[in-house]
Amino acid sequence: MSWTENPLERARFLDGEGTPAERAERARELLGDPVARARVEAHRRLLETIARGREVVPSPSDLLAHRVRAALAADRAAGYPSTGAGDSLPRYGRIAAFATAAAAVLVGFFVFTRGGASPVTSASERSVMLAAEAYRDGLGASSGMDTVGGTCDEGVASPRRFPLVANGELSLSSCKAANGSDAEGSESVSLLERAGDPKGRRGLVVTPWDGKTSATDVGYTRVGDVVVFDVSYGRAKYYLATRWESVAGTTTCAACHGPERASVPTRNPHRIFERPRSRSDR
Amino acid sequence: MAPPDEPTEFERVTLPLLRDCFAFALSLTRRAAEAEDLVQETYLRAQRSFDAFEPGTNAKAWLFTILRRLHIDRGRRERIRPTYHPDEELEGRAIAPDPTVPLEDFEHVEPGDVLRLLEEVPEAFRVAVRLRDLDGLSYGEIGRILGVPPGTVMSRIHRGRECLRELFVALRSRGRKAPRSAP
Repeated sequence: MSWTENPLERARFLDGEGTPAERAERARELLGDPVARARVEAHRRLLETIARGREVVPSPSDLLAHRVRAALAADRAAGYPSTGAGDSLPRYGRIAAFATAAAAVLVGFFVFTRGGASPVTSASERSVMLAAEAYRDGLGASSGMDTVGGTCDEGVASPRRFPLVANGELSLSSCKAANGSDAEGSESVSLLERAGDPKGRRGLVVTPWDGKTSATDVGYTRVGDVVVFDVSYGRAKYYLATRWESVAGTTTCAACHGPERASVPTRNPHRIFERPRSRSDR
Repeated sequence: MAPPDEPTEFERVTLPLLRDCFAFALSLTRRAAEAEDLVQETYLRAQRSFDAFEPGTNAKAWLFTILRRLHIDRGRRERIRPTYHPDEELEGRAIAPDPTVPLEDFEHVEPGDVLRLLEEVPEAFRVAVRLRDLDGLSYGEIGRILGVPPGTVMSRIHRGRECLRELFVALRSRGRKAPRSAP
């Protein structure tokens, strides 16, 4: 009986299993046996058809890479040691993980409330003020902003690219070009809302940014009763404004993402820095 | 040590595999949000044990092994039966020689059909097929990920492919594409 009559052996051959010598021997056999070769080719067609599925393997959201990198950086910052135990952590790993998570919360709280190391990027004073004003204007009955095309819908400065908008945590209420030019890629200023939360309104300014992304580092600037968070991500810098009272004392990422993140420090764990103001609060 | 903004060696090795990890996680959890959480947990766990990774070996297989174990741990925590429910009787049965292989063509099968129909294959077989045919892992690597010997891997892959072949044929006989799943 030829090995080609056994589907498992055909699969082994087509999957590249077996030693090189064995594979070479079988390939030689096929050359001289058209019937056996036909069996193998029929089997190969099935495997090639299944492999077409590779073309449509689902992709994760754009945010996943950012989120994973941020979590990895936070884990390193927390000084989590390598166990050297391969992929199976010792039984007490969970206790250590819990302790690390607790430490991360405390560190995050300290950093947020007391200020931390120097931020790696600077914040534009003008953009900070624009975001603060957008937030304040949005508190009135009419914002005077319209959702329009151009920079609001397309390009690097579109608020639709802001991670919290892209993932549905916040929705875009209105938007306009910041400098009067609606050309795609110019700075935008927007109002955002959180569904079901009347106090969830945010001001947002998005500025094209050619520098290095530092999404794990979030700066914040106090402007009177408003706080403006800034972060560079992708090819834009984002300035998110909200009421200082609503976030003061909040630990880590919960300040922007909402209280549901407070108990999950490993999800999107940014480093948060207070930025000095070059001018007095307005 | 790499500067804060530069990718670490671990990130250079593993982040290009993020999409593969997500696809594998999604095949286990079937929910995107849950899959993303599982991927993040996998990367954290992998980073902590990166010094145990042997350079030159298959990083994807290493990550998948961690991912699957975490998935099973989660199932235990949630008192859900672990992922795999192999039909031992079916797996143990000898696979008969196959003297007549019909000359089937599967030109009517589109890439999206493959993934949709794969969902109809029993889980133990489905996971083995996707690890081999979509992720390109060897029998040995798949065996380590699933915790089964190579012979069982071969059997599961074969069963899964046979299920798919029957589904492809049925698709043609129905004269239409597999129904699209809801968005």
